[in-house]
Parts: sequence; structure tokens; C-alpha cells
Amino acid sequence: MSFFLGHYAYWFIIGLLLIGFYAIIFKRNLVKQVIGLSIFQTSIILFWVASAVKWNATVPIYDPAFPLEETANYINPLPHTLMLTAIVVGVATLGVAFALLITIYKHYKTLDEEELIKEMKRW
Amino acid sequence: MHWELEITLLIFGVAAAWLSISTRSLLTSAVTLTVFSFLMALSFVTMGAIDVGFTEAVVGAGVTGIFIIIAIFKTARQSPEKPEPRLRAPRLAALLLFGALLIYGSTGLPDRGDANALLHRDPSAAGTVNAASYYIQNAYEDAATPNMVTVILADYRGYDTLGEEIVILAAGLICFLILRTTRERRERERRKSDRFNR
Repeated sequence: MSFFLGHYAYWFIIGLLLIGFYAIIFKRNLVKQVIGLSIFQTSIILFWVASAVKWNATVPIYDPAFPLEETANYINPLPHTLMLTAIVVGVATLGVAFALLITIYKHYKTLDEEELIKEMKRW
Repeated sequence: MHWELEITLLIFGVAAAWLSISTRSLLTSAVTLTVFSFLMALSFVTMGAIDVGFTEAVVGAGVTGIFIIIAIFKTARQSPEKPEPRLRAPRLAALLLFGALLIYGSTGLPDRGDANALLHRDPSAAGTVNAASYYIQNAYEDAATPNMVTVILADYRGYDTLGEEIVILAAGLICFLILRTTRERRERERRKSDRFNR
């Protein structure tokens, strides 16, 4: 039971990673592939946040009721900070991906991967 | 923290993620991706990461959804039912290998929430002060701000955040340049066709 409680979040994260990876390698529509990329990214963020948890600890905001000397009182704040940066950078790169998709659609009038490869070979 | 609530949110999150990549209408896909992001924001808050939850709700659920909907309205709204791509077997093998490796790796991870795990232990495995413990113990004294995440983001790792801003600026500039050149080309083509019509 304690092995389950210590690991169940990792299994959900693996499921989400597999869903994102499936969309990236199996879907033919490029918008679907970018959505899969976004799911993949969010599940990695979830992994960092999930591994920062300490049981019976409070959120990383100073509270005089919990002494600072005992670090087990506070959840690890370092992964949270790193993931704040990762979320914002992820959305910025997603914006670039969609700008590229709009340009591709204007050129080739399709967002289907295999049709695009065929069109590109013709040029 | 509360494992029943976490499991419920994660089950709904996996369902929303699967729905968003399996539906045919891209608009439904965008909306379910927003739902997925919001469920993830809720589970971040359940896991004690309030700041990450805020950011995910605003940036992940809000801005990403708007981006996808703009992209869909500028391109095609349906992803037509097409046969799966060629090379099915190697792709499936890659997917299964990836999953098996991840599950094998997850059994070696320390129990989640254990305050003596390598990530949280003080002193760290190298015998030095653990960075996270240092931040927890000194953040309030150094910056007089109760929220430790804010102190790390803006004070201890300020250059990190500056680099992040540079990435956002670069991404914005790239979007602007990509979409601007196409508009110029369209105008050039219109002028050309005007000349033909005259």
C-alpha cells in the first residue's frame, strides 16, 4: 500500500506522456501533433511538481506556526520555481509553432503530414 | 497531500487528454485541451504548488487555448478521418518501448512525499548544503517576503528569469516576423494580379 501511495502519481504521469507521444508520432494532422506536444510538456511539469511534495508539509509560504529550521515543514520550493519558468517558455514556443502552422497552411493549403511531404517532393 | 482528490483529478486529466487527441473536430480538441490544462492546474494546487497552479490556469489554460483557436480559425477546422500513417509497426514499437522504459524507471524512484528522499535531504548526496533547504531557511530573512517561490524566482535566480524574458521576447519577435512576411507577399501578389487585370 505504501508503495502504491508513493508511486501512483508517476503512473498517471507515464499515461499522460504516452498519450502525448502517441499524438506526436501517430496523428497526421499537424495541429493534433502540437496538441500532443503540449500534453507531453504539461505531464513533465506535473512530474516535477509531484516529486516536490512532502507528506504533512505546508505550502512554501512562511508561516510563524511552522519553524523554518525544520525543512520538512515546507514543500520543496525549488522545482516550483523551475516549472514556473518552463510553463511560460512552453507557451511562447507553442505560439511560434502555431505561427509556423499558419504559414504552412497558406503555402500548401493543407496541414496533413503525408500530403505535405508529397507536395514538398513535387516542388 | 490528499491522495483521493489527487487521484480523481488525475483520472479526469488523463480522460480529457485522451479526448482532446482522439476527437475529429479540432475545436472540440482545443476546448478539451483547455479543460485538461485546468485540471492540471487544480492538481498542482492539490500538490501544494500554488504559484505553478496560478500560472498554469492563466497561461496554460487561457493563452494556449486562445492560440489554438486562432490557429484553427486561420487554417482548417476539421481533421478529416484519414488512415493511420505508413510505418505503423516501428512507431508502435517505439511507443511501447518508451512506455516500458518509463515504467521500469518509475519503480526505482523514491517514494513520493518522503522528506528524506535525495531531492529533499539535507545535507545533499554530495555532502553540501541542499539548495532547497537553504532557500527555505533564509528566504524570509534575505528578502522579507513570505512566499519562498517568489523570492527564488526574483532574487536568488533573477538571471534565470531574465533569460526567460529574453526567450519570450525572441518568440514574440519570431511570430511577428513570420506572420508579417506572409502579409507582404500577399500584397505583392495582389499588386501583380491587379497589373494583370488592368
